[in-house]
Amino acid sequence: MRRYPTRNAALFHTLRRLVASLCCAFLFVQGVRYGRYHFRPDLSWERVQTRAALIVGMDTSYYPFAVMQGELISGSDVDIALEIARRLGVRMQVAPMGVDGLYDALHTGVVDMLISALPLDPFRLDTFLYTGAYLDGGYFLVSPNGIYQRMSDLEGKRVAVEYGSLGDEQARLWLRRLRSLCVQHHAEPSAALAAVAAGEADAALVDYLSARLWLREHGEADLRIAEQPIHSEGYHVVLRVQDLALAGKVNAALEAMRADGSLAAILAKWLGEDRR
Amino acid sequence: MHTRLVDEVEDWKIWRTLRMVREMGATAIVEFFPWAYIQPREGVYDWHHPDRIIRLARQQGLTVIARLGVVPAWARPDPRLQPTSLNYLAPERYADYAAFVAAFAARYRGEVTHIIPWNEPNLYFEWSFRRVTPEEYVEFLKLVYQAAHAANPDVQILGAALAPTLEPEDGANGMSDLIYLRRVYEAGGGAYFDALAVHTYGFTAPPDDPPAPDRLNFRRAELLFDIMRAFGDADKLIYITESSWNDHPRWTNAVRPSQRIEYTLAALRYAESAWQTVRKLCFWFFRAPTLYRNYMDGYAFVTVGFRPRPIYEEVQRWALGERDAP
Repeated sequence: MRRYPTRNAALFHTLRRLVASLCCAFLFVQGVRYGRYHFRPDLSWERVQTRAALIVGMDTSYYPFAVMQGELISGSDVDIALEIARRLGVRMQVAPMGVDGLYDALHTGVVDMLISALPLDPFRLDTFLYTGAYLDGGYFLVSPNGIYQRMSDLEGKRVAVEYGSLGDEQARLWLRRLRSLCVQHHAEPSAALAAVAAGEADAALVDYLSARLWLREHGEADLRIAEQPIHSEGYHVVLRVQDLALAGKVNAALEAMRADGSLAAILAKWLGEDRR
Repeated sequence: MHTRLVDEVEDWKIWRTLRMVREMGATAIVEFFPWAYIQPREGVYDWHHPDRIIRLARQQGLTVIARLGVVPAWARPDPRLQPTSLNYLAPERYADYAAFVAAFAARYRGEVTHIIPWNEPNLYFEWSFRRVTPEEYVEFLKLVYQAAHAANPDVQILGAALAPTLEPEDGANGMSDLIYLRRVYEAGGGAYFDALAVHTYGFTAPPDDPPAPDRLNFRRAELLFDIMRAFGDADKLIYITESSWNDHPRWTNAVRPSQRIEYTLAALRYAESAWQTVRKLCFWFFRAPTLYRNYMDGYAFVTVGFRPRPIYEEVQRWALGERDAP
């Protein structure tokens, strides 16, 4: 007895099975490819261990974080990277490049991580990981003995800022919030700090880097940097989002450096004593 | 002021941007209107976005200078046969672009009186990675000029602003703006633009830095004026559609924020007193829809969140006739 009433029905049935088989095979292959891509083992730490070197991308034109003089690259970011590498038991290798090339170098695997005074970019969080901040380069109040910690402390006072800077922008906002605030404009942050030291202003609102460098040069001044920033901008170490294992090691090294004071010692070497 | 409204989605952001531009004291905006957005298919126009930008700008009493560019996919070669950039416009498609400019000029007759066909054609990438040839731009401009004036006799066609560059005549990235403009005139291009758009950036030099062919500075524009004068176009009006100083802390061509304000105000004073044929001095740029997170952020006058940066307030004070920078 014939199983199918016509030859066309048999052919149709065979074709259906063939198409179904092909679909299944296609889905299987795609599933395997998806799984291999998304659930591949994280070998980032093993890769660094095998190579015995941590390759770090840096913009080597940004004093005092990293600057290149002849063959020598030095700066606070260089020392932080060296210390992280030492704690991981590998050597550190700098890949010098311009700031515009940093993220591309990390994305394409040219480097393992970036240390280059980079603030967190929320638009890159699907691609990159940021460790905890190793420095807050934002805007801080600087005042004699640190008596002014918040902008609200400056009612009726004089605040010196660099004209046109983010500190100026913040001070102008506070002009609308306080009943009385005198904003003094200066051409550079150093001039704003000098005005405070000379008693011509009550506080300066300047970026952390300028404040630390100026205080290093003017040890005699009794100025102190406020504990908390008025406008925060943390600098982070950046890694690829899939390199979780390496990121964990780097973050742990940074935390250990923070806990035992070696991070502060490196920053003090380049920026001067942290006077808060 | 050069605005960046083309990628802005919400009406209130466009309106607020334009209101702040007006409140700063500016009287005109330069805005980019991509051909590819407005004519996504051959013969099909979607005027929704330019309509609302132009309507809201007019509500604020602002003159709109329209720059038109970006070639739609249908006017470019099949990407499977020839991958091309968004600026690729083959000579056989010049007429399509001219028809679009004519449609734009006709639609906004009485509303948009100044149109800039193309941008910085002396740069290799702006000229779609084809060989930069001023004579070819003249052929293109001739078609555009004639079509636009036929559609709207009142429209002013501006010769596209050239990128200030020190590239030689056969440079890898483009051609010197000075050589390019001279060759445009030599090819008879002077007859096909009613006024000239100019880009001039100060970079790290103050605005009174004297011009020289081997220097990029604010007064380099004067070398272009000299060429216009040499070809009998001394009285033709000039619109500086991009100019600025940048205060990004990590860009080598940037200046300190205080210098940026000082130079910008000095440039306004200088242009007002010394450049008799310059009708507008527009700064690049007012506000971007999102942060670039690179040196470009150092050009903004207003933050993404509409907070005025100090330069905004200082230009506003200058426009109001108040005292200058300390």
